[in-house]
Amino acid sequence: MIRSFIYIIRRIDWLLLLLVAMLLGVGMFALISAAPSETVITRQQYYLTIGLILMIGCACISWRVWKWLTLPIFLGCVLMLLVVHVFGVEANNSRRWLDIGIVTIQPSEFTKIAVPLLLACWYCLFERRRLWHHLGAVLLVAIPTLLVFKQPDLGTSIMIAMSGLLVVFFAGLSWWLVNGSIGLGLLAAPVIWNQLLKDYQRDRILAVIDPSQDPLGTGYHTIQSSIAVGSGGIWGKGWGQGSQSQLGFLPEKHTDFIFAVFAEEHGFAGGLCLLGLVLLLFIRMIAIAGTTRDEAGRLVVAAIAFAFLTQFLINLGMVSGLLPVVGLPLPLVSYGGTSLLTYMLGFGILMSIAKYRPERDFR
Amino acid sequence: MLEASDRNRQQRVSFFLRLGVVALIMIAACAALVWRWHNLQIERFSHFKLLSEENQVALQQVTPIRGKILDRTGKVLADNNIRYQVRVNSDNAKNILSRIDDLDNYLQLEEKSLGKLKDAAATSVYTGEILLADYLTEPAVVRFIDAQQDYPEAVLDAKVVRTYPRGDSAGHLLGHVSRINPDDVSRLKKQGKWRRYISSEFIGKRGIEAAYETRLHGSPGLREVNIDAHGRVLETFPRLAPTSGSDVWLTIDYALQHKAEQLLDGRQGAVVALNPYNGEILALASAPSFDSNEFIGGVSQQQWEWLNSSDNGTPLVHRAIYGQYAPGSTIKPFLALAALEQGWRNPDYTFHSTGVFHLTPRHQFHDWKAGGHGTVDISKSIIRSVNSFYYQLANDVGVDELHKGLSDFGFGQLTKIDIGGERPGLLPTQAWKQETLGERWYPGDTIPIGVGQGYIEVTPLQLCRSMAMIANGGYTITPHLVTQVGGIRLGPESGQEALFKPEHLRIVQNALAKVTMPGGTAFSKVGKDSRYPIAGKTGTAQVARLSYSQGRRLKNDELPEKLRDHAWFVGYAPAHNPRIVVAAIIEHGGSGGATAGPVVRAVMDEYLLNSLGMHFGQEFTTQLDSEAVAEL
Repeated sequence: MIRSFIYIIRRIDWLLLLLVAMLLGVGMFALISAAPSETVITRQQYYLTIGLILMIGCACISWRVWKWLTLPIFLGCVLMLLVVHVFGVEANNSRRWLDIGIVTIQPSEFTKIAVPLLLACWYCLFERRRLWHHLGAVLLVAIPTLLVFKQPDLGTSIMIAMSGLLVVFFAGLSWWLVNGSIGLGLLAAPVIWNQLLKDYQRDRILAVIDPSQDPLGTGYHTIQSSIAVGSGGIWGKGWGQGSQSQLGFLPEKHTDFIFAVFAEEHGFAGGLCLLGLVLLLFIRMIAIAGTTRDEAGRLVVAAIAFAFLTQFLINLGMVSGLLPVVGLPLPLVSYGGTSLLTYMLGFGILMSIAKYRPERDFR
Repeated sequence: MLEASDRNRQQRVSFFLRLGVVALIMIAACAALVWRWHNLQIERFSHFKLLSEENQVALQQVTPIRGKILDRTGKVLADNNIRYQVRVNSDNAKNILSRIDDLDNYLQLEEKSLGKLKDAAATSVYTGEILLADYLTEPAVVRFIDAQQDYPEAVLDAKVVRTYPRGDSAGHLLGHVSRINPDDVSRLKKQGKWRRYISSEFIGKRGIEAAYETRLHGSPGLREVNIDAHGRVLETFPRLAPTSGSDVWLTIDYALQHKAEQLLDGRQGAVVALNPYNGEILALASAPSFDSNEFIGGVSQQQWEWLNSSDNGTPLVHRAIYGQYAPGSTIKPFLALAALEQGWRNPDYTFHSTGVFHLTPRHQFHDWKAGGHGTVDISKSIIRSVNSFYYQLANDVGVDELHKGLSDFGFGQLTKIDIGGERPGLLPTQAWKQETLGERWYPGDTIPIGVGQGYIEVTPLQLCRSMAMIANGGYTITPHLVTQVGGIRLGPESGQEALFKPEHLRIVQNALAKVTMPGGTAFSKVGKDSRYPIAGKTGTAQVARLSYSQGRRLKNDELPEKLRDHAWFVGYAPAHNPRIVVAAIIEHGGSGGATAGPVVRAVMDEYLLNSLGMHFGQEFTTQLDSEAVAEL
């Protein structure tokens, strides 16, 4: 009993846990002010508890075991995405949720972790990197990405693609190819704009450039959240005092737009503190990546760290009116069980990698 | 071994290099964010602060209370009633829905309210207030107040709504209010008055309600409200009290108006009563009529058709000012006066009536009395209503001269009464016919003008106004309905100069007085038993061409009602000190003296004997009987 307790304590990366807990605390603090009803708060408290247990639980599983689990996890995710396509619960014109009786889950969220895990292990199968290894990796990324894109869920599909491609990039894809594909992407932009994007997605992008075009339609989110952020000033209006959020002018205030509530109530200072906290968390994760000897582990840590930071920044950019409105929640802060559990799972794996000491390979 | 670790190191270097590159991008993104926050929260802080405050504060208008409309004696003809409503906020829909059956015992629930409650209960979005019950009776209000502690969500509210306590009386002249429709909105916007109507539900239509809309409406007040994103009002701060609309006092004597409407009941026609000196309209009745109250909630298509249907006599038409009729013989005193004034006839002119007037051997115009009236002077031409006298006159002077002479009385012109919907009648010229009908004026067209037939039309109000000019000594007056608005006296100026010579006027006035005396055309139906002398003129306006059957002219009683003549009587009393001028037309009433005359007499009696309370000696008729008979 005591031995297993000690084992658990030794498995945990305490600095990472502290930073994650702080961020979760800030999220809870913001949510209590932003939540439309008490049930949202209690539910989020349940998710938080489950998430912490999940993280510690994942930390206790050795990275060696995780490596074996990557393929089943990935296949499970793809299977769930396919099931969502057929049986998913439809809401806001897209099928993202799967109703499994007690709760509805969003398989696309777990895919964000499953893809870098699988790719990292994929690269470990080979000692030397050949071009077809990269092509295979890109293919593995493309399958879940397209499935999520078809739901349609632009934000999450971008996140999945990014977490996968980050692994490909860190695994040593040649610079030529990196620059080449960026150039190709730029060339393909008009085609994506005209063919791939749906009307509402185009409108959202245009709304960032000029929200006043349609102030009650696509521009409404951007305008109202800019007003909320801007009216916060340096020190904010005070906790629970934001008129934009409390009077309901802000849409999605407890999920995707929770930062607008935070910025309105805590101002520029609060925003900087939050950003600082996130950067500290990021630096800690990079530090773990730096000390990890296992290459696959290194790739996974880096991918999760960057995916986390990127999603955070995309959400902040969206709320601040810099980026189009894509349906991405603020990790660990926004209300939502699946997103929270996904990142907690990721952090748990991260802790597991941090404690992994491979036998020195003296071949 | 070395090779492997070498490769490993190489990989690590490459990895950290790449990590650094992406980290740089992230730092750039963070910098962009901080720059954006600085821009929003510090540089443009006051701008956004203002926007967020504007989001939650709204300035709302407070509807003013509409002014009342009263008659000259202070009887209220248009009033404001309190209308009690029970409403519930859509947030509470679910709560109230569970106990709706209990509430049903206290309130007469609106039909649609249950459906709306269910809709509102299904969503969490605020959809506004739901009306549960409207137009609560006072006992229902009391019952609800007793029960309200059990239903704190249901709010009892009072609204002000227009009512016309005298029902269908004076509907045409009062007009009514109706809900503001899109046409009203665009008209108000064009006039720049829309700002005052934003919170208003009703606007005046027709009659006084429309003509004095600006004064009756009042000015809205202002209140500041704190609202949320759904428009839910959280707090209210009064900022400016509304100014109630001004009360409008009418010249109408309600008792007289009511009497006139009673007299017209069941008939189609109009009665106009004027004060001859200042143009105050004492009564302005039009039958059939309508109930102004029905218009407030909006009339149904079926009602609207009923109001406009000619089978019901088109109740919506305001006959007193919009109806145009041939004046018939009532034109004669005006022609007589014009003839004297214009020098067409001398005061001592006489004419021999043989019963028929020949324009050409084939075109004959008849007197109403076969064989004619013998030798006729101007006075007798009016008393006996001698057609041939006026055929000759019309033939002698021509239509354009007639137009000039009759224009002085205001025929063919709007009376400029202070409500809308007036028509000008028709006083023809040769040019007019050429212009409108594209035909030249024939001499045969002129002859009937002499007896008020053919291309000549007047409204009852016009005829009454013209008669008032004879009664008051030749002064022009403008008929009007309003004496004061908000305590300030109104009233158009009367003409300053008499238009006619007193000696000419006296001839016509005396003749008109004798019309109701023995030997006059209206003695038996108007003048008989009168305790005061009445001056007036009968008239019969032909609807169809003269009908003949088997060589004999058909009497009116033998014709179907639609083809019967319109009956006119216009006159004033007392004859030598007039206090009231009355014109009445009964559509398809047959002979003027018989149907319209008693109506005018009854109106005069009501006004002089009851409203003014005048006293007259009993001996008046008997004394004059012999005198009049001797003269004829």
